[in-house]
Amino acid sequence: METRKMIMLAFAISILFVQEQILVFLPNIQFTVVLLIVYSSVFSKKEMFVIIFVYVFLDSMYYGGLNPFYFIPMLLAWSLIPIVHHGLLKRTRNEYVLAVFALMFGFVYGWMFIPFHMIQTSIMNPIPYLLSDLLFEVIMGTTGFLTVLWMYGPLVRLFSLVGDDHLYHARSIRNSEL
Amino acid sequence: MKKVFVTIFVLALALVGFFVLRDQRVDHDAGQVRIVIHDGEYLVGENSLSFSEGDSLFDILKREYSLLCANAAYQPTEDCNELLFGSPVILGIDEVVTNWTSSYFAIYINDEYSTLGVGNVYVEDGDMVRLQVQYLGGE
Repeated sequence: METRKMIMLAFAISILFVQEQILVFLPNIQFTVVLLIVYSSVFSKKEMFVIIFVYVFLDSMYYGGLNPFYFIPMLLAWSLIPIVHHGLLKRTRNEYVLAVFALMFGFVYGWMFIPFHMIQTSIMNPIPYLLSDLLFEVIMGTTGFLTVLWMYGPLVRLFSLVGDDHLYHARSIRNSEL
Repeated sequence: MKKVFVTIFVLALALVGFFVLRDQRVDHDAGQVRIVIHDGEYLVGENSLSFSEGDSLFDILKREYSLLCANAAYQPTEDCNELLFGSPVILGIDEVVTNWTSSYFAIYINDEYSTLGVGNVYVEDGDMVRLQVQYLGGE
């Protein structure tokens, strides 16, 4: 991997981590979803997995000494963004489609923790966890929807200004309108 | 303009959902409650406390015990204020302390595991509340 690309990835991860820490006092209100969708538009799938692994690793280290009951579901959940964006959504840049995806992701992210929480607490009924987390899923889904709707376009255009033709889609973004 | 309408619609829908769900998380009532503190191995304290109408379990515990709570980053703090949304998380009661990652306080109301947090539990007269340290393994 080129040095320039590595530096870009490092910056991307730093922005992801720092914004989360700044907004930690607001439960589930963060720019992580929109940032990962933007990154997914400009980086390749392989680079996305590097970003997500390092971000989740840092986050889990910072909060809970790499607790596998948080580390694994977080890794799986965040990895869904590049998987769905590059796969099912065919790397779309349609803000409305991506906003709906971000809305649904807010719920899926919460559900991903349920089996792990069931193992951790030995309470094998998923319903209480599902119900108690629903409120926070609504917050995360709504935040994801609104941030993608309003910020995805400007942020992706900002990336295109970097002028690095090696970025996954930077060239195509510069040549097209969102 | 379309974006503004979509934003208003989704925000309105989310706000309705938020308040409906928040209301459902609260369980109401009022009298005398027996509080049992268990450190996971031994019973370390038992107390019969009175409460008034509208007191949550958190209000009752806050009056009687020295609490250690989790802040928004789940770090221990003695500043046990209500969180912005949802219920506060108790990490320590007097000398019994948990760390959230490998241990936490499980709440049992009349020996039944509570899925509501301390701020959302409203006990009834004669209830027995057991706060028991639950170990999860790992560090």
